[in-house]
Amino acid sequence: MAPRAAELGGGRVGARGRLFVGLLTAGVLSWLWLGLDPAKLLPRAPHRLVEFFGAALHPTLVSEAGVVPDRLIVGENLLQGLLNTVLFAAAAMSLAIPAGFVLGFLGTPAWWEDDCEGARRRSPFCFCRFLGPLLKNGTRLLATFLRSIHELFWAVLLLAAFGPLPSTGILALFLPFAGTLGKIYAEMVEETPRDAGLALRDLGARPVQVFLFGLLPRALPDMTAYTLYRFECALRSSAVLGFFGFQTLGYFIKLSFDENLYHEVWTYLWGLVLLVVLTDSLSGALRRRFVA
Amino acid sequence: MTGRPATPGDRLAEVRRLHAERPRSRLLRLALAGFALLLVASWFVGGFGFGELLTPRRLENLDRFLEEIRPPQARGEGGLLAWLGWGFDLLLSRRGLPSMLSTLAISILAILLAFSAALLLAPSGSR
Repeated sequence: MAPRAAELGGGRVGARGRLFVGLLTAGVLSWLWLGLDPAKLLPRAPHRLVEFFGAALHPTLVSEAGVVPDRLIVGENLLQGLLNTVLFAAAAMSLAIPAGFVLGFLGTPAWWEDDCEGARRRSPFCFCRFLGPLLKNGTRLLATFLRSIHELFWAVLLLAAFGPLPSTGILALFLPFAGTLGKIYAEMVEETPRDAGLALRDLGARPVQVFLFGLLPRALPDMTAYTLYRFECALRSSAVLGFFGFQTLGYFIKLSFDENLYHEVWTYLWGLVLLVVLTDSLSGALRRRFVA
Repeated sequence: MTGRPATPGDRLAEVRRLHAERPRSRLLRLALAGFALLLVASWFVGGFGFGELLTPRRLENLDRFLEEIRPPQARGEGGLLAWLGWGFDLLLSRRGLPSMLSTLAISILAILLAFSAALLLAPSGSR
């Protein structure tokens, strides 16, 4: 007798098929809701498009508008923009990493839940029953709130609250990145094998010691690799912050774009691409060493 | 196994030997130290600080902002109920619900397009 399709994994294929059809349906419904018209995607002035992308082949280091023609003014702006982009991203990450650690520690029950069975029996008002879950859920809610609001929204809010200061830009990057790091750190610690932590607990270690010496060291390589990846993300976000007036690469891109100086725009864009590729290569190499 | 049973001193020596022989990468340590240095140096090179956020004028700005960001219905008396009323009103108003649905629709289309592009690029980008 021939095997049934379900025995050959046909059931799973069926579920995948349903998922695929579901996604496709959601896509079609979204398209209809937004009332998208493919004809509108075509550029109204194709020559402008050709002009813009053509300029990619001829970036310039001198002012395209002829301002200070004997100086590499665009080159100077590029270097200043690159430096500021890195500085904003690094300053924000220097705050987001410790904040992420705190949120990650408070947001995971990994360091206290193994003790809960006995503690619940001993006392109806133990840490595990009320304070622990409250701490975990409260911290996770805070982390979700912080990362739900995109850094550009944070920038708009903080600019309205404090005005255009460098520290406003750093805060705008720091808040969502701290939330994201906290959530991921907590999940990474939870996914860490508990054997070392349990052995320490059996030797009499306190929950914080279990976390610091039994769980954290095993999760640290993945956490470091993820932190490096987030630094790349911070660089891109830092560049985009320039569109709000902070003097990162986006600031110079916007100035040149507003004046239709496309060769200058491409100089800055190539600079950003180079920075991201360089950081990606360096952090990628480090990440591979960590997870190897 | 032969010989005498391991004493605590033997075990400690073995732990020290394993600790000394653990895999270490000088490049990795240097890179991480460089990264940490960059994070600290950014504050000095960029001349950043949060003191400027706490000047009287900025704090006044902040006060005004926090007052203005509150929806009119929730200003003054009313507390939580006023906030909830405002939330429902916003969600059910002409702008609230369609905006949320448009956000969802754009996200769905974007992730489907990204998924399709990733399917095409993944085979050539993977080792």
